[in-house]
Amino acid sequence: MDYALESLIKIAIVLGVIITTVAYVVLAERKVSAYIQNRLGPNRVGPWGLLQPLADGLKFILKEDVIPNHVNKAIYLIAPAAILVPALMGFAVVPFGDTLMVVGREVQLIISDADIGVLYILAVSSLGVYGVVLGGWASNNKYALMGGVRASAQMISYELSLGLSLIGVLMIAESLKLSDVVNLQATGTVLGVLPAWFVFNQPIACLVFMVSVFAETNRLPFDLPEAEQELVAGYHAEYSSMKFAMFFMAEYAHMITASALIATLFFGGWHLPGVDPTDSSFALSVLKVLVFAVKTAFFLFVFIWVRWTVPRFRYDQVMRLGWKYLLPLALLNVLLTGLYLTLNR
Amino acid sequence: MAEESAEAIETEPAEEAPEEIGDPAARALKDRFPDEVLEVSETRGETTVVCAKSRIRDILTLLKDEPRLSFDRLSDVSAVDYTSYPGHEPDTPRFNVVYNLYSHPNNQRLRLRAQVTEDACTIPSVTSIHRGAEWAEREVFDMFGIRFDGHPDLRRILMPLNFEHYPLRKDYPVRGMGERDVIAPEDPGFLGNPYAGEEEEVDDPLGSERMVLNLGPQHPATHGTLRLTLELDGERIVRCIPDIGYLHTGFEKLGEHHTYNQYVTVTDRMNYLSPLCNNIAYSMSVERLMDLEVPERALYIRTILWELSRIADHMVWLGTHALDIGAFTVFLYTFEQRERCYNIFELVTGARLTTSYTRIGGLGWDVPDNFREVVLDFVAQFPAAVEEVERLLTRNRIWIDRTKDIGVISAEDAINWNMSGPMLRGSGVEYDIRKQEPFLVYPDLDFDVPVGKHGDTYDRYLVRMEELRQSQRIIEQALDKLPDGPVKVGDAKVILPEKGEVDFGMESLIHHFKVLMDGHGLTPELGEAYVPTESPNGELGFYVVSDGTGYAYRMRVRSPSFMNYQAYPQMVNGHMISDAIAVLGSVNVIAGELDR
Repeated sequence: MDYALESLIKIAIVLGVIITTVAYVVLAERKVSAYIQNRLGPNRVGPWGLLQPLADGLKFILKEDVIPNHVNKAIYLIAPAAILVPALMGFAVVPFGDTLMVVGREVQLIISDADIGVLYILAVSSLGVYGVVLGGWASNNKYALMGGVRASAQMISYELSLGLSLIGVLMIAESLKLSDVVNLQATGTVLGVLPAWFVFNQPIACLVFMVSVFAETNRLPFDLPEAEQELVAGYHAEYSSMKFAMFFMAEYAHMITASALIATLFFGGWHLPGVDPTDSSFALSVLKVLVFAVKTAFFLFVFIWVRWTVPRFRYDQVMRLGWKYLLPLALLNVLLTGLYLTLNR
Repeated sequence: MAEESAEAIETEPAEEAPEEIGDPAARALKDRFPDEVLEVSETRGETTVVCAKSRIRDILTLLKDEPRLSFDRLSDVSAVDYTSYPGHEPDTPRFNVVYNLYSHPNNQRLRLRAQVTEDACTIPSVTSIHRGAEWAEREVFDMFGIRFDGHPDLRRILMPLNFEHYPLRKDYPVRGMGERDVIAPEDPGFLGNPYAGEEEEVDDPLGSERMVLNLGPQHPATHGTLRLTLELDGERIVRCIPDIGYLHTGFEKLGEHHTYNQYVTVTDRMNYLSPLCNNIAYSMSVERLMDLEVPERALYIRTILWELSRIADHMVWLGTHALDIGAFTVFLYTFEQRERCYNIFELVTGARLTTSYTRIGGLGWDVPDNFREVVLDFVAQFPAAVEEVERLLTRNRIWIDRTKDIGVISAEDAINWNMSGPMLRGSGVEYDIRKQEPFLVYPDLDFDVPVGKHGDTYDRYLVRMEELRQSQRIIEQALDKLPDGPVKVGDAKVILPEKGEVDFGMESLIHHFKVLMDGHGLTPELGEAYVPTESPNGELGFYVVSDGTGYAYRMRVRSPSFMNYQAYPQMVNGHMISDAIAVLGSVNVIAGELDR
């Protein structure tokens, strides 16, 4: 009973935080892009435009919801949910802190420390492609269809290198549990000076993983499925109002989960070098949560930064990069890690 | 001179003996086609040959293939309806189809006028000799109803397919006739199906179907009014049919109903990215027609503004080109620079877009006192901005992948397709009208003409980027040399007197009155003139025919976008949708001058 209650509270908090973060990442995106482009960005609603997300949300809810006559209605209605829900579910196994003493209980700061955490994430994140494909197909619009086709090809291709890049990490961690992965990174060093983060242990894996999540989240330079100048809006061309907002939120929720994963898997999660990882005093626990949040925020910034800097790939170039470069690179990484582990046994 | 032009439409052969013809090309034509060549005139440095239509194909073949002549580019095809021209007899041919030829090896121009009667309103098409004649001939058909025998795709191009009249004929009223009278009730269907009955056999073992994708006119990458119909095999383009005319505004017809100075305002709206170039190019044609010598200060100011316009135009091109390929940030960087240019235009002309700054015979007024500082401020900060964009794009792997070997057009094809400007230079042809047929004060200024190698989108990008730097050089030099003096010719019959003088001086009042009176002020003599200019997109020129009144008899706009865009289907065939967008950006089609 206690466990269920505790989980529910954690779910509620995490969900609330993510949804709020989604809103503010949108604002951050607009502010950062404005900064990059010598503009001001939103600054009318509240100080520094801080209330802009509220206004945007309100606008989306109040907009007329148009369902075109030519769509396949059932699938059309499912698609936005089918993309948003997996994007949010991914966070369930991400440890956003160590442990925290709350009213005499030691609470682990993770919704579910599942034994198959990494597998779960891969499984859930691949579900996201259904929303895109179904949305594109059900819209019964050529641009949307092509967006859907592009998205499915792209996401399935990059799913492979994404999964393979993690194998090296898992071989060292010998566990699929994300808390184990973080704990391992919090102890020991690499080459005596660097923290034992997997970015230093597994640089190739980190690179492949980061590129792949960009493709998985459909962010520039991999935003071909919605490529405004080519496909107008791609798979969500026919969606309006809150349904469009759900596609929109899904992209940002995906980004948050992806950033959290990069931080967790390769950058030590809540670990801060110089802080004793076994000390679980209240202040330190809070600090760890903050460290995790800062790392995640940094990678969110990287997502935004890249988007406003580079042009877009072409469809076949994305495929080539995925299959001819990232996949072999990920395989090579598995090979190298295996050799290293065998020789050091 | 006036008589010569009037006679030009008559059928009797000219009385001049061949040896009196100075122009070698005209002489060669007269020798080879004594029966067809009816008249040769050489006025204002332009050679015009009037000929019969029957052997026009042979004439153009000779002009192209004869090594001495090698008129390898057919710069323009247009027509004139001589119905109400002074001296026109009812029994002489009503139309002249006008061919404007250019020889790259000899740097020479030649104008051919082939006579077409109303009863036998056809003429052989020359598309087999010059492919670039395709759209221009379609336009002549669209506007005058002259049919071109042997044209591969003779459909209306600017007017709707079910339009029933020929708007540039003199009997079509400028106000139009009302939609019900000119549009046939039946819908011609999908683009009139230009390739009906031409379905080729597809060797496709998979039996996959093709998809027809309608891109535009409302599409983010078409910037408003272009429409492409793409036949796709997956994402690969099998066939591309551009459909233009969505922004057709009848500018050429308007030219016949505005006085010469009024028409300056219309030219603003043609290439709306560099309106000053249109103003200046137009004024130069009329000035040649009237043999006016514009004061040097005006020429220098025009040159500076011309190059600033080039920068503004290229900035929009660069921004939207990058935007279409996904680099949004570049777009805002370049628009900041364009904004600075526009501030200068506003300072000088009082308007940002509708500049209308030139007058026939000079400029509307002198530049403000701080012009020099403002322009110097601009050119001082400009290189850094170009540098910044170059750092974002020029060596960017994705940018190179997206633009290299995309939309390739060879030098030979580019000439044959009648391309000009950066499109032609990107393919390696060193042709810049500022160097080859100098206008304004370009001969006095030192600058380089960048040339590409491969004729792909990337080379066109590099060419335009270098042009930005050269423009900056030109502006700096022209500012240094900017002389003092008047900015209008001293001819009181051409230029309005100062307002203050009009209020108190009898003489000025009379001049003022006469200049503005129909048929008294600005009335060029009978004749025709064409001044080619190097606008940001390529060769821009106004072919003006005067009938001695205050209104042009015919106003033909040879716009670079119209000519450059026709090779587009060939450039994108076999590429992917994304490439089509990239190539569209590099052609830099300006709908205003495309559809006119």
